[in-house]
Amino acid sequence: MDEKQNGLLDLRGVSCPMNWVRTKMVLEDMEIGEKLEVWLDDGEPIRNVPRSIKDEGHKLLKVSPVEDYFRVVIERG
Amino acid sequence: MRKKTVDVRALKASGFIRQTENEYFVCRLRVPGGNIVTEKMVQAAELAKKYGRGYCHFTFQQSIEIPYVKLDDMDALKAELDGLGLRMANCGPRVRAITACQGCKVNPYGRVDAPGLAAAADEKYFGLDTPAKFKIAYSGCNIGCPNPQENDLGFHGMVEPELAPELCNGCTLCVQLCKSRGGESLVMNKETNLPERDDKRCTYCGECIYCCPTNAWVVKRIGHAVYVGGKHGRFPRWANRVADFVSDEETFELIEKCVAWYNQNSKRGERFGTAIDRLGLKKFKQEVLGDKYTAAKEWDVHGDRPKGVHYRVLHSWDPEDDE
Ligand code: SF4
Ligand code: SF4
Ligand code: SF4
Repeated sequence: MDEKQNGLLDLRGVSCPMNWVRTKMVLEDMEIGEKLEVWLDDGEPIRNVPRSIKDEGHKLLKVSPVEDYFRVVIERG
Repeated sequence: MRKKTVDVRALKASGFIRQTENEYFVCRLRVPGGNIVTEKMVQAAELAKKYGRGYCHFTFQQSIEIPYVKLDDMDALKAELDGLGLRMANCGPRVRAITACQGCKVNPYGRVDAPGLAAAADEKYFGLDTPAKFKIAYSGCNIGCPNPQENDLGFHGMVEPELAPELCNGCTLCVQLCKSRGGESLVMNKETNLPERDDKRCTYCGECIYCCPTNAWVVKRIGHAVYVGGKHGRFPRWANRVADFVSDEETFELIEKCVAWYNQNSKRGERFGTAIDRLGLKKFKQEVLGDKYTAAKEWDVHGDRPKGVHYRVLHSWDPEDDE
C-alpha cells in the first residue's frame, strides 16, 4: 500500500495518533536514508508526530510553517 | 444528648462538614496530589454505599467526599476509616490538603513531579493551624492547571534551556513550538542556521528541550516558580510571583516560612494575600525571602494580569475570610 504521492503525505485533518500510524506505515516501506514530507496540523499533531519520529530512530530534517499547518521533512532511519 | 452539643468547628478540623440538611454531614477524605490507590478508592465507594447515599463527590481541592452521613453514624464511619488507613481531609482555618496535577511522570508538558511533591508536603504540613484557610498547589508546568496563582501558596515547574549547537540540525521545530507555547523567545539565525533564545521572552516552559529531535537543547536550570497570596472566592486575588527556580526542598522551606510569617502577622479570619496587601509585598519579601532566592522574572505571561482582576480593593469586608 502506498498512500504517499511523490514523497508527500498530507495528514492535515488527521488527528493523533492516526497521523503517526499512517506516517509509520509509509516509512516502513521506504529505504534507509530516503526522505518523506508530511503535512501536519498545528497543535497536538506538530507536538506529537515529531516526537514519535525521534523515538523510532528516524531523522527530522526540516519543519516549515505554512499558514495553519507545517511541512515536515523526515529521513527514514 | 450528643446531638445538642455537636461542635461544628472541631468537626471541620477533622473533616466532617455539616450539610444544608442539618442532620447530615459530609465526610471529606484526603487525597493529596489527587492520586489514590484503587483499593482505597473502592473502600471509599463501599463506605459511601454503607453510610451515605451511594455516591461520592470529587471536590475542587481533590478530596473525595462521602455525603449524607448521619450524625449517629459518624463514630462508626471514623472507626472504619481508621481501620482501613483512609485519612480524612479538613476544613476551616488551617493548611488544607495539598493539590497537584499529574506532573512530569504522566503529562508531556510536566517538568516537575508535582503530585510527588504535593504528597510529601502534605505529609509534613497538612492541618497546621493558620489564621484562615491556607491552600497550596503544585503544578507541573507553567500552564498551571492546579491554579497556582489562585492558591495562598502556589508553585509551577520551570526549566531554563541551553543549546548544544553541535547537536542541532537546524530543523526549526523548537522555534515553531516555542511560539505555540506563548514564549516567542526563539528565532532561527539565518547565518548560523541555529535557534537563538531571547531570555527576556522565555517562559521557561521547556518545550524546546522536550521536542528537539536531536536533543540539542539541554537543561540549564530546573525548579519552581513561587506565587503567594492568591485566592478565588467572591473577591479573588491574583497571586504575586515572588521567586523563580526554587528547588524541591526550597518549596518545603517556603511553606514553613510563609505559614510562620502568616501566623505571626495576621489575625484570625484574614487570608494570606490580604495580610500581604495590608503589610506590603516589600515587607513580606524582606522578611520571608530575604535575598536567598532567585527573584521572579519581570516579564512573564502568567504573573501580569490586568489590575481590574484584583477586585478586593473595592471591598473591605470579605465573607470568605470568615470561613
Ligand atoms: S500544569 Fe502542566 S503538567 Fe500539569 S496538567 Fe497542566 S499541562 Fe500538564
Ligand atoms: S523554554 Fe519555552 S519559551 Fe523558553 S525558549 Fe524553550 S520553548 Fe521557548
Ligand atoms: S528542534 Fe533541535 S535540532 Fe531542531 S532547530 Fe531546534 S535545537 Fe535545532
